Amino acid sequence: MIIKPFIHPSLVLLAGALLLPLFRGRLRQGYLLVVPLITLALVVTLRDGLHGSVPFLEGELLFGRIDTLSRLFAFIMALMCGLGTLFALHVKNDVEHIAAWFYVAGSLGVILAGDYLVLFLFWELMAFSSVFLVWARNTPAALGAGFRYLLMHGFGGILLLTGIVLHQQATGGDFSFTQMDVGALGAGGWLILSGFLLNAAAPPLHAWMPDAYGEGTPSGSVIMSAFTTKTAVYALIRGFSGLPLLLPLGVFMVLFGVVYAMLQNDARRLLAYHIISQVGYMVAGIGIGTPLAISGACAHAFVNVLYKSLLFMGTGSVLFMTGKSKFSDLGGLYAKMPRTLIYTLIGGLSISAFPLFAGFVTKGMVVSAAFDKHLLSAGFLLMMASAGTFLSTTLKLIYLTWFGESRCSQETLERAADPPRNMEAAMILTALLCIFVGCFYPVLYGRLPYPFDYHPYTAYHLSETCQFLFFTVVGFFLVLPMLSPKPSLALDCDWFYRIGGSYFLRFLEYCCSGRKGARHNHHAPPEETVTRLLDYPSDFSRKAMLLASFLTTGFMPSLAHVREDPRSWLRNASFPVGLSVFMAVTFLALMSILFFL
Amino acid sequence: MAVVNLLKNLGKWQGNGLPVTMIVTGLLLIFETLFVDHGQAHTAPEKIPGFWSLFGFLSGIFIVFFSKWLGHLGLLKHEDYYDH
Repeated sequence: MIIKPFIHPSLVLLAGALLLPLFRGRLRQGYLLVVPLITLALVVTLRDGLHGSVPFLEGELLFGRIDTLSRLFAFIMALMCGLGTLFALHVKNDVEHIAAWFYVAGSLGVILAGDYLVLFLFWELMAFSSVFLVWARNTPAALGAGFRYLLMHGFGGILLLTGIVLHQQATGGDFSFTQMDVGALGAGGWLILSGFLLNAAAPPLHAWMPDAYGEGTPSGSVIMSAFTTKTAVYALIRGFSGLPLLLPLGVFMVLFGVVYAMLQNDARRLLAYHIISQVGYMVAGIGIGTPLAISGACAHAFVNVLYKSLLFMGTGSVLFMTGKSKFSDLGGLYAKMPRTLIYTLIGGLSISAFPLFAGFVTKGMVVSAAFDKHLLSAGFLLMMASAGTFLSTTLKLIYLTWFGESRCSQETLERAADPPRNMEAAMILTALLCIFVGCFYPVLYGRLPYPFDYHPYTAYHLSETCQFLFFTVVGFFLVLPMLSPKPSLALDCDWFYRIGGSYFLRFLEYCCSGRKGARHNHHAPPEETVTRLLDYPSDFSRKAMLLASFLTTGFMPSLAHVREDPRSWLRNASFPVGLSVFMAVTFLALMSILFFL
Repeated sequence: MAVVNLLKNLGKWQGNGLPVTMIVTGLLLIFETLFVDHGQAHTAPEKIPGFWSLFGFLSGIFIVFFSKWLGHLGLLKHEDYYDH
């Protein structure tokens, strides 16, 4: 392939984001639409080949590897950037737009990356920019969810970077981001896979997603729902196609997502669990590894970006207009928000693989691939989860928000109305695209990476799907009394670091300040705990920390540090070098022990 | 907007959802029995008319009951669980 210079689409978004604060008023709104359009135009005009090679150390970094696979994913990401920005056009907060564009730039960077170093650079850009879409909601819950999101993605980044280094050593300096030998993955390969799976929200590394997406801003969660997981799916397709482990993992994700979605009282948390379920279909397809399965995974990722963002737009509109997203605070809004109901219903029918809607032409590809390869249990379990998807995403979500008994307060009812024009325009466009792909599927099939023979609109497939879905509706009406919403929270894997973290802080408090009484204060928030720790430093704890750092690292703290109050270390950002190294070494040692266990 | 008005009227008739769905599913079963070629079926049970109806119905019921059972096992907590 020929190497030639090119304009990276991410550059447009990054420059556009930095220049955004210069624009005000109507000019700003035009600018917000023009930048994603230029990005989309650049992506459409990308030509196959290797582009954007930059010398680095003794090798080179490759920023643009364009082929059928990367073009498909880059196109849908750029398109979604435009739709997401249109949905958020009314948002006055520049930080939210800048974060969103940095985030999309990161996603495009990963998709076009030709080597693991470039991939890692953009991978981290995604994590560190998207957290601002959670924090922008500016509530205590969003702040906490954002920190947990960052913590988990930081952990994922460490896994990925360690994996890249080990993989590079094992392959004699090869950083290229290509298909791994899935029959003989080394330690590096497994760590890279773990990093990818964390972003794909594969259990048990998934809890960051419902936590963060449920707390993000209405428009921020729309953007987030499209990029992180689907970029990870792209990375899995590129590097791990045919890895047998991914099939059972994908099937588990599909079922796990629908079961947990049934337990949710918050509409956006329900949708977040359904992302896990939908990504499960893609992961299963990647694990099956046949041309039909891989193409099915690509196609399903493509349409999932559309219908999942449409569903988040629908629930985001309800949240934006009423201030509520919990089913226990909603219900009976069909007369107040009828058009939003129609758009959300289209998203629901698409995700449920209803004929003429986007999911119908893609989900069947993965299921058929499983049956074709005689993976019968996998095929039937994937079909079983389809019933759960229809039950919760379409029936439960729509019934409990728009129909049934109204649980709305008077204020909610007064505020409820269809959203502003820009939000509605984004929903209309996305809904039309869902129907377009469902009806004119050859347009999508012709852009998939591998040739395959699959026809969705056969009498058998139509009959199978319609029977399946309509009898699920019968089941829904029979179990409807069991689905009455209650204010509740379903425990998930984040329990370990949320509860474990508070015990860890209490342990630190006890060890460092020596205050036994502190253990009895169960309600102290982390900030207060840290403040109290610094307010009551004991000589013993300070000396113990400094001695430990000296013994383990050999760095002797300066006399000034020994005499100083630890509060000044924090205030002046001047922790003794030895102590910092000691903490880092301790952390890495713990991680190594966990890894080898 | 005609569609919106239709939707509002449908909303008033939402109590009839189950009978309407039962009629549609009955028609689908008749359609399958009379007109659908089962040559694309991958397994023998799929060739039985109504197999996917039963499978969809039981799957939906199973998922609801299984998730409720998990909730009763202790997964479901009060909303402010983490605040304490």
